[in-house]
This record gives sequence, structure tokens and C-alpha cells, in this order.
Amino acid sequence: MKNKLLNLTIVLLGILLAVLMVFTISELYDTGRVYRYKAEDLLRFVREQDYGNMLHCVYMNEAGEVYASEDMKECYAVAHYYEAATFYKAYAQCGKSEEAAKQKKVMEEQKALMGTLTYTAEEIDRKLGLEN
Amino acid sequence: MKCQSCGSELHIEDERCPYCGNANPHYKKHRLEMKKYQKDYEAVRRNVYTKAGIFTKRNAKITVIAVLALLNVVMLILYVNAWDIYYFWEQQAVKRNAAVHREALAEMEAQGDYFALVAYYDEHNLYYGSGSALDEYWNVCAVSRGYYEVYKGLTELTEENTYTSMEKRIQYICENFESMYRYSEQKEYDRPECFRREHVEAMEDMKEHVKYLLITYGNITEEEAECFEQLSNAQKQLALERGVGGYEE
Repeated sequence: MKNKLLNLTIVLLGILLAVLMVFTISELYDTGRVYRYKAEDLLRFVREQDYGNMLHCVYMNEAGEVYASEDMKECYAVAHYYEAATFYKAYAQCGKSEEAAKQKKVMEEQKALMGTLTYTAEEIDRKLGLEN
Repeated sequence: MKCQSCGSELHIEDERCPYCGNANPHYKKHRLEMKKYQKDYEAVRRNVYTKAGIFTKRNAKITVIAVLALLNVVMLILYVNAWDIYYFWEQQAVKRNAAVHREALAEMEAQGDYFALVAYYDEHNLYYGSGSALDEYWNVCAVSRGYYEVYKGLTELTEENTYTSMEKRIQYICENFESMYRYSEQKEYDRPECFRREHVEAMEDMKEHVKYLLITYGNITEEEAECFEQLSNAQKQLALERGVGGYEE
């Protein structure tokens, strides 16, 4: 009888230890987890034309040195094109021609990297009123 | 002992007398007693061995239970303090790589990559580096964070948004303005290294860019943009609402 009680106690403590280990490791993992934006996430931003949020996600990925597939690199180019276009418009409207020219150059560089997403450059220009 | 028949020497273990051949009357009794002693001996030996074995196994099980209980307590403490453990671990990692991070932040600040700066700060959890060489970037990062939110809010101000009303969006922009201006002003409790020349220049640069964004996307006048910092929160909101109204017209 005493033997059975001891054996049962050992089994229960062992199971409890295993459960606690799983919870603890999971808790430590969740605490430190940083979300990495994948190509699907970025393409969704492109589809929804949510370039503002996309820009921050791209910067987070770049800061984390996340490996970028070809699709992701094209999305990065879209985000940087948008950023340059917004500042180009602001500089041009405020008469800062030198800064505007720099941003225009960045826009052209990023457009060249857009690959299959080159059509978004026109969408962004239209959105910002830069068609002309 | 002697044989009862012939009187010759007889051992108790002899079944018969070796001289006359007569049966030894004590042999049977001796044999029976020896068997009984043998049985008793075996029983006692088994008993001793069994008891000793049970005692050793029980001790081992109790030891295992004690160890498991201790491990459970340790694991529970780790679970409850997971955040503190992670915080300590990250803090040490940030301090170990403080020189590398400082170089990266300095480069981004010099190039005016303020959005990249705040993303780098967040990505590497540099706010855990309190007390390290990274403290001097705290204000620049806080202003950069506000700057990004203002940039995003202004560039998207006139877009259709079914989730958030225009009023709420303008309010959010103005709150981030306040945050930018608050962290760009040196107070007596601020660390002096946070307001070194290059950091002040970066923060002024961001505030200058905000003016361009206000004029372009907030549709406010240049004069209003110049004194925007001095306006109250309510006045800022009114100015932007007027600007947005101008867009809609």
C-alpha cells in the first residue's frame, strides 16, 4: 500500500514537472518573440494600399536583418518608394527643390527594384496626386 | 558417542554402526533437527534480505520524490518570474552589444533615417539598455517615434477610413505632436548626454520636416505651421480640421 502511494506520488510529480517545464519554456518564448513580417503580410499591405503601416513593418524586418525573398525585396522597394514619394511631394510643395530632387532620385531607384509590383508606383503617384 | 549394541565409537551422523551394522537410534532425530535448523536459517536469511531490500528501495523513492518536489518548486519560480528573467537576459545582451548598437544609431541619426532608427531601437529592445551608453539616444528615439506617427497620420489623413473618425485621427496626430515636442525639450531631470549637439539637431530636423508635412498633407498655411508648436492641443486640432475641411471642399 505504501509502495503504491510512493509510486503514484512519483508519477504525479513527474507529470507536474513536465507540464510546468512546457509552460515555462512557452512563457519565456512568448515573452521574447518578435513577429517577422513575411511576404504574404507585406503583399496584403500592398493590396490594401496600406503603405504607411507597411513602411514600419519593412523597417522592423530590415532592423532584424530578416532574410528577404525576391517578393519581399519588391515589397520593400514599394514601401521605400512610398516614403520617398510622400517626402518628395512635401519638399516640392514647400519649395525645397534640392531635397525634392534627392527624393525623386530615391523614387526612381526604388521603382527599378519593384519588379512585378511596378504598377504600384502609379497607384502611389495617383494616391499622392503626383501623376503630373 | 558409543554404539548401544557393540560399544564402538559412533558419530551422530552415522545412520548405522560401522562395526556391527546396527541402526543408530539418534540419527533420525539428528537429521530431523538439522533439517529444521536449515529451514529456520533459510527463513531468517530471506527475512533479513527482504527487509534490507525494502528499506533501500523505499529510501530511493523518497529521495526521488524530494528531488521532483524541489524541481517543481524551481520550475514554478521560473514560470512566475519569466518576464524578469527575460528582462535580465535582454538587458545583459543589450549592454554587451552597446557599442555596436551605438554605432548603428549614430549612423542612422547622421543620415536622417529616423524611421529606421526607431525600428532598430524597437527591434533590438534597446530600451532595456538603461544605464548603458545607449541612454543618450532615448530622447531622439522618443521624438522619432512621435515623428513616425505624425508622418503616418498626416499622409493618410484624407484617406477613407471606416474604422476611425476624422476627429479621432486628428486627435491622435496632435497627441503625437505633443509627444514629439515634450521629449525634444530638455528638462532639469533629463540626462545631459541626451541633448548633445547632434541629438538636438536631429530633433530639430524632425520638427522641421513635420512643418513640411503639415503644410502638404494637413493643408495648413506656412504661418500656422511655423507656430504650430506653440498652439494648444485644441488649437492644433482645430487647425487640422480646418485644413481637412479645405481638402474636402
